[in-house]
Amino acid sequence: MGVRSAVEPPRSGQSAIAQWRRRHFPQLLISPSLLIILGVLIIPIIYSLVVSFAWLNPADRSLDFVGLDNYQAMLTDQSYRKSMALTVLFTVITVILEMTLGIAIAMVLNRPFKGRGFLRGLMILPWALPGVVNAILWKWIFNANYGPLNAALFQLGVIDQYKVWLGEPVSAFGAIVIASLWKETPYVILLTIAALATIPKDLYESAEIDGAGPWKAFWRITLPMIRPVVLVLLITKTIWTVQTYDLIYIMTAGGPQNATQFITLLVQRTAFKYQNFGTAAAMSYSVSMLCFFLTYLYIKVFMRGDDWSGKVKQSKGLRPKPVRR
Amino acid sequence: MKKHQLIAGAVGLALALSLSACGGGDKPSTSTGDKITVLLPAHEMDNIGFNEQATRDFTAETGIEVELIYMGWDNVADRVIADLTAGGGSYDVIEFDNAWVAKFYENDWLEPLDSYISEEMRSGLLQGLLETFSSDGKLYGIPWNNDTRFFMYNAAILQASGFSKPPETWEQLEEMSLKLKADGLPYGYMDAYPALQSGANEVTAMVYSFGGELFDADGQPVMGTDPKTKAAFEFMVKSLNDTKIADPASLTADYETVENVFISGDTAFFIQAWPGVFQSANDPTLSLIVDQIAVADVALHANGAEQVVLTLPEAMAIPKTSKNKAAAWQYIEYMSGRDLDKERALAIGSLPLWQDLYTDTDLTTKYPYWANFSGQIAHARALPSLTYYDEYANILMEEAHMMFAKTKTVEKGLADLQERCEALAGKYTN
Amino acid sequence: MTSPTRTRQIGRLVWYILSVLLAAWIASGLAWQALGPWYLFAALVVAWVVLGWHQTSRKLRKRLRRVVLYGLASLILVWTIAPFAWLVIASVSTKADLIAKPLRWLPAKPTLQNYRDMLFGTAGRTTDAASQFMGAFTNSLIITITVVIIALMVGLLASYAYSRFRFRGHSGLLNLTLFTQMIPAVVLIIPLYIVFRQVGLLDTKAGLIITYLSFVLPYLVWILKGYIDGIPTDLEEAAMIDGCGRLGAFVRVVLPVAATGLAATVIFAFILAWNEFFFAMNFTQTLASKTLPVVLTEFSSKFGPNFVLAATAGVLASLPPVLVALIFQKYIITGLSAGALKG
Repeated sequence: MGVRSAVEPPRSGQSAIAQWRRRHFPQLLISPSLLIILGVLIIPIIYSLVVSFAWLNPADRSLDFVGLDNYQAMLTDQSYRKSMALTVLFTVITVILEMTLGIAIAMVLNRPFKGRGFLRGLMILPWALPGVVNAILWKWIFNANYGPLNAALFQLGVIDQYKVWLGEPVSAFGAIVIASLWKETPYVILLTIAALATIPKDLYESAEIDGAGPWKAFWRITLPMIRPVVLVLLITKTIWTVQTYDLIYIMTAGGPQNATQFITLLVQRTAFKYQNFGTAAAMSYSVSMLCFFLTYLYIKVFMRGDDWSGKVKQSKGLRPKPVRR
Repeated sequence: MKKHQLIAGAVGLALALSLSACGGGDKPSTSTGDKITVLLPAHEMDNIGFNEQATRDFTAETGIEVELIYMGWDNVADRVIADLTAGGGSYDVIEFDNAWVAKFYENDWLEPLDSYISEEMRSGLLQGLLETFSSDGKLYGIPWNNDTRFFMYNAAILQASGFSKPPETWEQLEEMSLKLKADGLPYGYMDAYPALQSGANEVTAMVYSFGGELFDADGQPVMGTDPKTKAAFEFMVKSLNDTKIADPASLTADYETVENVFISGDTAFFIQAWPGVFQSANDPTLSLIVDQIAVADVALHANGAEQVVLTLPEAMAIPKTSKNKAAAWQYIEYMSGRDLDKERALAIGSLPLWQDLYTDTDLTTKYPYWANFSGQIAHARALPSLTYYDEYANILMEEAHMMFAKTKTVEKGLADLQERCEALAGKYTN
Repeated sequence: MTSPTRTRQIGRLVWYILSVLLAAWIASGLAWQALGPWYLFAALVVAWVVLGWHQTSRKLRKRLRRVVLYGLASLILVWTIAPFAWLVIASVSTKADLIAKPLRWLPAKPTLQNYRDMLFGTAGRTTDAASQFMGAFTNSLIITITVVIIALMVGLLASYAYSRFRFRGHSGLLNLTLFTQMIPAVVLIIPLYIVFRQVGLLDTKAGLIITYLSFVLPYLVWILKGYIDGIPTDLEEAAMIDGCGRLGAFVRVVLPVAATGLAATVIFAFILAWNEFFFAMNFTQTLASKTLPVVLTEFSSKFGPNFVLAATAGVLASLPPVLVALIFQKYIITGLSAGALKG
């Protein structure tokens, strides 16, 4: 694999091999990681593209090329169009709620109060919890006959009859959003708290002298200062949310009325249950297109000629931090 | 250096965890002979681990190690089909559902069992079951679970509202349920219509009981034009939304919830009850309705239609790719053998797979209510057999849920369903 | 336009009226033991608080602000803890407790039997999934630890090279690494599945390890590069003058300084791999490779999930990632933010 030679430091002997090794030292260092990335990511992605133009025979594993048939089948498939629309809707709603809720809670947790450290630490819990556990948990909470949510609301007198939360498209969709929020918002909170800590205090002090209230200070100072983090969060959260799978697989199995059959579940079913690998591959490509499009959109919107935009692109390293400690 | 210690500590912790994990596993000690992997759903009546115990006894007797994987039915379905599609090889004995016969035959996934089965077994097992799992004159599965459903009801609740007899038709059921509701019962009945294949089972049974058809004899979809199918869906929609005689939680309920609600005394009718419900209902540790359940002589049906109950038998089969077919067959033969079948019936009340056990005196004295089954069992019907059954079940439930929520009329929903089925059929014949 | 004093007067008047209304409402609620339409009540309370805010003195406002702050903090606390608490309660309950109506919020007789089943085997009792728990636990540990170790070794070399050298294709390859993080798993699953089944990697731990590297490694390279960027080069140069080779200097000087970052990334990678479900669900079939999240979904009878056992297994499966995260939370938070701020 070439790993071994890279690990050894170059010797002082000047053999041709040693020289070559010294000249290509960085390439040697990155070669194992490149091999993995190439093998597990790049080649499969290309292979998948090939499959999306073919009909894969499950029995003898042969490929029949069918041109754009899979893409055409995908676009005329009612289930696909519905699933894609629902995925986009779910992603937009969830990400917006996660971000606003996350930043709001981070603002609260940024104030000094007793037990703040404990509460901040607690945010780790939902984030570290396996997604499967989260889904099993919320499925039971929303259970129509025995769920604690129904019991609590009923005992408080808010509802007069148990509700079938996962039985109607809108409430089932909402239930998935809530379950997703519970698990994923803490990540936003943790990152935002960390970003808030880097904002110099004197900025607020001078703003107060200028007579700006807390609301104004938030819009004028806090938000612009944490904008790089917000952008990164938006991008990663969007990519993750588009891929939501554990939750719907366990909580609703895509129902009711396939209102929660988001795209990952549909691709998985199309490939492994209906054995239509070609169309599934085509569908999966449309998912990445969606991810790229949204990422592009965010960067476009967020980096409109702002002075800090360089920070996001900063990948050359060793540049002094723009923020004082 | 503190940080070094931290990392060392983390690694140490991980190691300790992994070591303690290794110590905890309980592996069967006999690992001399073959090893087979078995994937099945758990038996719906097996609350005591009977089949697991039998599997361990099998290992003790034969030295064949068995990795037994039990999951919910829908999970099993996902796994079996994914594995076979991939070329198989993971399992030696698999679940073979009655709805899969056409698809599995088409794909040539299973080992024919004609050369394995003994004459005694072939003539002793219920002939109808063997036929269900045969295709083109070859036998592909040995039944392990005779899952047939019966109409049961809570006689005490009916009595309290002045009814001495269970309903026979849906009209009567509706009338009685309304009276029971007026007398304080939350719902007349609950059914299971989740977005899973179990939901498709229930919907199919309803259609049959109205004399409706979803597919014709050639497997062509006809649900869009059959007036009786339409009547069945209209009844379901009405029961969930208008008369509210059905618990709306039916939309997400699994069978277990339906049973729990029934044995808590919150419903009076159990439309498609498996035999085990009778026992759970009379188990004082589980049930609030001890001695109240009864089996109807006649299954529910629409006026003028014939009574129908659903039969969902399950078989064990050996994939062609199994590397251990002999051991796999030994396991099947053991689990579906006559002696174990009788033991199982005595232990958990499962319906026997062997013909002569229905007249076995040990069993008939223990389960006198089986006599009531005979009226219904003659009218058992199975699911439609389609090569695209999985995809069909998915869209059936999607359309059914839209009809149930009244976002689509029944007429439109069924027409759409038919159209989508035709498109599917076209895709699979190409 | 009214003058500010006028506005304040009207505000005060409305507030007094609201106060009386609210008092009457609460009194009648206590008398009839029913609150009536709760959302109206809530709206009234909110209006009362908002208007009251402007009626109060500066000192009182400060105190009120604290009350509001603690109120919000308790809300956050309850929201975060309640669902998980319910999981723990369910794991020490029996099925009868969970399906009782009205719901028993605490089990009648808490039992640890479920944990005993899970940890010490269940010969002859309950479902077989419980007896698979420890097997899956071991699989999860082996897979997770191997992934973390490989990713860490390979990732360190690469991130060091990206950070300290400029070479042809430097930024191109680096961007490629970043770009792969944007590929949804669903694109990879079909080709990996097809290839794995051809080379016999389906249902093996090795197959899952390779798959997990696909998302752990790019992440690690990216984060670690950020850390190494932050370490001044003069330290290494001094060490190299002292006779260390380049890699020697790296191991002796850079690694210790980057230890915090390493710890954070290791824990993060651990959690990512431990919790992964999508690939595991589709690539594993038997105990040869099944991981914990997969077994967690299997706690069910034929007809319905067994929530009690699933809850027990869920609590146990959560322990490693949650404990690791809680113990090392300081590192995780710095790690997370470093990743995001630099990424």
